[in-house]
Amino acid sequence: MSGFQDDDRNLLAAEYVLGVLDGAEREAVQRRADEDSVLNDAITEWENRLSPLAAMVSPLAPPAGLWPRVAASCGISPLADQAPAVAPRAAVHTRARLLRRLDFWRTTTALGFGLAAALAIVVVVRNSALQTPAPNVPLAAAVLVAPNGGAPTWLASAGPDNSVQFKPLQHIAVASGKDLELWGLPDGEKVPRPLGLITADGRTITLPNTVKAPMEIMVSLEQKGGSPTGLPQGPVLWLGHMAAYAATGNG
Amino acid sequence: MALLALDARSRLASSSRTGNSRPWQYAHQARPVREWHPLSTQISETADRGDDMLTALLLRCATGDRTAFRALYDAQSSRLHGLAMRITRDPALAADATHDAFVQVWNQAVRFDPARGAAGAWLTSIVRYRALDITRRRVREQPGYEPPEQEDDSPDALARLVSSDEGAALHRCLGELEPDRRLLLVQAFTDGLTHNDISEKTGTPLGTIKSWIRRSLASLKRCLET
Repeated sequence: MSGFQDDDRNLLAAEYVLGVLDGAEREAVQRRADEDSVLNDAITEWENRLSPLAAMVSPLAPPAGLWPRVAASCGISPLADQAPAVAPRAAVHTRARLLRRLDFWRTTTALGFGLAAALAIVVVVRNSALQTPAPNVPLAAAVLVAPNGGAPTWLASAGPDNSVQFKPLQHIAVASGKDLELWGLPDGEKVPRPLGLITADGRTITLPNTVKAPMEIMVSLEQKGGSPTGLPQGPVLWLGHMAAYAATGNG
Repeated sequence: MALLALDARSRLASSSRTGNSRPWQYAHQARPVREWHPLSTQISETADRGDDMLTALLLRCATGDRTAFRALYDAQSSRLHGLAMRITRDPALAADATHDAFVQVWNQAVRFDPARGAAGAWLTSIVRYRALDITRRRVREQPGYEPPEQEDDSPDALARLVSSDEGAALHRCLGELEPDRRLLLVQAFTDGLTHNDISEKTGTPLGTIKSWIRRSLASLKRCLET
């Protein structure tokens, strides 16, 4: 009975992905798939089935002006893509030329090293933060960096009574209409827990009892007031790992 | 530096819901969330390594990584622009489609889910749907608009399919179709032809074309599932 319907729906998905539907039919499928998860899944399946056909079409370089247009539409600087914005201009150019010469594999490798470097920074800075003779030695600390590396951006220091102080390590500006939200992902867990909003000049929070180091701490960019779903909706801007508290701690 | 990143992401966040190529499909919040992690770069071991690279870049784009986005553009813009040009058959429309597709990729990279499909297929779908939507709109707004004809693929173009495992399976299953039906199916995909276009192009009644295509797709599905 429903076999016919399912077949029908599956073929509709196939026709949609193949591209033979006219404008009105396409829109109808798009609307319907919004509410029909079976149709939605069927579309994804057909995309995976048919997409190898794309290999039959010869590549064609886009016009040179397209990247700046894309970058502008995405709100990113066409040059800032190759290096941190603080890098001298000449260095940016050199790096850009270099990167362009690299093939993909090498680019990917470079990204991998970037990530490794970011993790190294976390370790090194965390150790130095711990060794700094300060009046209030934190029980543990984490340095938050962008997922692709870059300069340390936040210092998170755990204090007594489950408190964690967040201090910005560089100037941070949050676009109007947006908020930064903190998340904790205890080691071994899969779903991050919301820890509240944070302003650009930092804040001290109290961890709920369910969230304990060792954990990953993240800051995501969310709509005003934070993610409505209790899970990060926007991009994770910075993250870092906080080790288990020192034995003297109360955690 | 932080300021730049925030500005960029916030601007795109405000426009990210305007993308119209099935943004619902990859919304991770639409599925039960069990394994969320910002660095979940686990990659399907069966995917080929080229796709692993694209997957890694897309996951990094999802975190706002501009370097990864530029690398993705360098890696894929010619491939995607070729697809857009083939469907729109107009340099300006093709540039619009490629532009829109990359903006959508940047805005919706967070919705890409490697568990649901290959990165290359995701990118292909985004640019094709943009090109199809743009072309269909153009036809609607300018009745009688006839995109310029273009050359058919060389007979050996099908051989390019075999470069990936998935492509090889598809190639084998396409081989089970009648040659003329196979050509129709392939051209519908690459050129973005509607049922109507094919009917006019081949001088075959619309109903016949529709049933040919449905039957070809059904047998393709059967073959690929065995």
